[in-house]
Amino acid sequence: MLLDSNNPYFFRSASPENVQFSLGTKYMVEQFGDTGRVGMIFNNDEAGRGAMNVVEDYCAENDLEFYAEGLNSGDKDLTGQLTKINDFDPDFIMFYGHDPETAVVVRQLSELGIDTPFAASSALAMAQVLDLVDNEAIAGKFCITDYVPDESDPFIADFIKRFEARWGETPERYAALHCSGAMAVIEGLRTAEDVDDPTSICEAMKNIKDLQTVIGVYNCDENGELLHSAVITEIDENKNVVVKDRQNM
Amino acid sequence: MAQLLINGLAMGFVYALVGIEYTLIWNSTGLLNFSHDKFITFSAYIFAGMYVLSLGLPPALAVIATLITIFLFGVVVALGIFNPLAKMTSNLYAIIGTVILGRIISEIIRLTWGPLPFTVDNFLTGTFSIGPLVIGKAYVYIILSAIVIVVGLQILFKATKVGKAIRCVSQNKTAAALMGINVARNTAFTIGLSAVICSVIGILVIPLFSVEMNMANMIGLKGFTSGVVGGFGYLPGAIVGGLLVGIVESVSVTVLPAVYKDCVSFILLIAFLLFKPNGLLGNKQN
Repeated sequence: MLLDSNNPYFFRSASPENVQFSLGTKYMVEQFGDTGRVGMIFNNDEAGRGAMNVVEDYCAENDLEFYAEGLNSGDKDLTGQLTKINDFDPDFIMFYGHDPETAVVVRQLSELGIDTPFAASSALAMAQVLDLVDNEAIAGKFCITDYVPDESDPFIADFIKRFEARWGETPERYAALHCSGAMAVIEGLRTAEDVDDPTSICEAMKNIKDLQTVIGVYNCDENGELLHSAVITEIDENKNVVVKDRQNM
Repeated sequence: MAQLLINGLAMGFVYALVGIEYTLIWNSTGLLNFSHDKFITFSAYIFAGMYVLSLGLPPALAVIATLITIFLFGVVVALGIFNPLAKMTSNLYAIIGTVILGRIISEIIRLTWGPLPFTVDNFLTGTFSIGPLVIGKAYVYIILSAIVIVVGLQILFKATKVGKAIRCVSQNKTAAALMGINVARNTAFTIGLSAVICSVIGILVIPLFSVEMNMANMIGLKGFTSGVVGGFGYLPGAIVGGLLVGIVESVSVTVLPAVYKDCVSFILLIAFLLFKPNGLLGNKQN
């Protein structure tokens, strides 16, 4: 919807769901796509429907059977949706949702004994979601995100170190995301021909290429999308977020 | 289908418990308590946030401490808010009063524990399996608790002096007062008791919903629906209504997209209000 408004001042620091979910679905098909059946549960809001459309389109293009069920923000009982998806017998289940319902889905999958491979949007790897579910319920679940606090990367390690020194806790995705967005604005201001002219700053931001930020290397496209990368992670039995694959956009 | 029936039955008992709590307050004060979902939420925060996570009490001890705390909270609320509101000339004051009470409880929760959800690790988690059918342990505890509460309330109402006094007050406050029953104290006890039921619900749904500000919003509304469907003001009606709502909304997903599950419950509510306002068992109450 935001892209449809053709607002030249629109920029998005997060990865677009369509690209993320396209890459995520491709990864899950490669790993688990034995019978060509894909299930999905999604939040019935604008972002969730967008992600669902991406997976549906991917399945149509690749001749895969697709079945999806929606949920409303704040839903607490998703057993009906999960039971129906399980009856469809998919190779794997994709999920798009926000923090509270992500924990509910993971917990109720475990309670219903559904052990079908499961890949969720970025909320799954957030500390506040990991804290809400037991280890055995979340172990082996995949997450499609754009940020992992990976201390092997010196740039991210430095950010984590400074964030922890300042705030006393490990930065989660939102901190990294908004820090990266601010870095993009600063880059726009730094490279603009005239910092008093909004169009000049906007133009400078549109020209961002290979900007190293906390969340990845930004390349701005013509729509204002600050494209970077999709990271496929798997949660292990101790709730560590293990990187399985990283794909640049 | 069998799994959906089990899911519906399990949620139905949650709604039934909420319906019972609604009914108790309605019968004792003639008020609809629109803050009762916040009582449930507050109980979950007291149990998990205060007693287990902050004070480090073992869950069993924390349950007892929560029940006592919430009973006392219910009594204070009854004496300070419900009894004065029940005496007002219009029920509108009372309805607004309970809504505002809910807002106050929400803000107390937000200021004390913050907006982020949390849970109690390994508390009532796990499942029981019967062949291909699965039911969460939390649901089993909810069903057992509902049975214990219903049986306990029946014994209280039929076999004890306090219970008979509660029934007298619910039937005719003036006559009860003339017979020497302290109506204000009796109402305070009943609301304390309903608060205890709220705390049982709040504690038992933690493994299902996590502890968060809006955890009881929907079950609060569904509990009201259960009361209407079963027959408002009649305890067995709340149970029958709760089970019916739970099963109907769960089975509805076989013919409708599951996202409309809540709509089914509320269509049921509207249908009963329009065509059978006394509910399924309302005539038995009389």
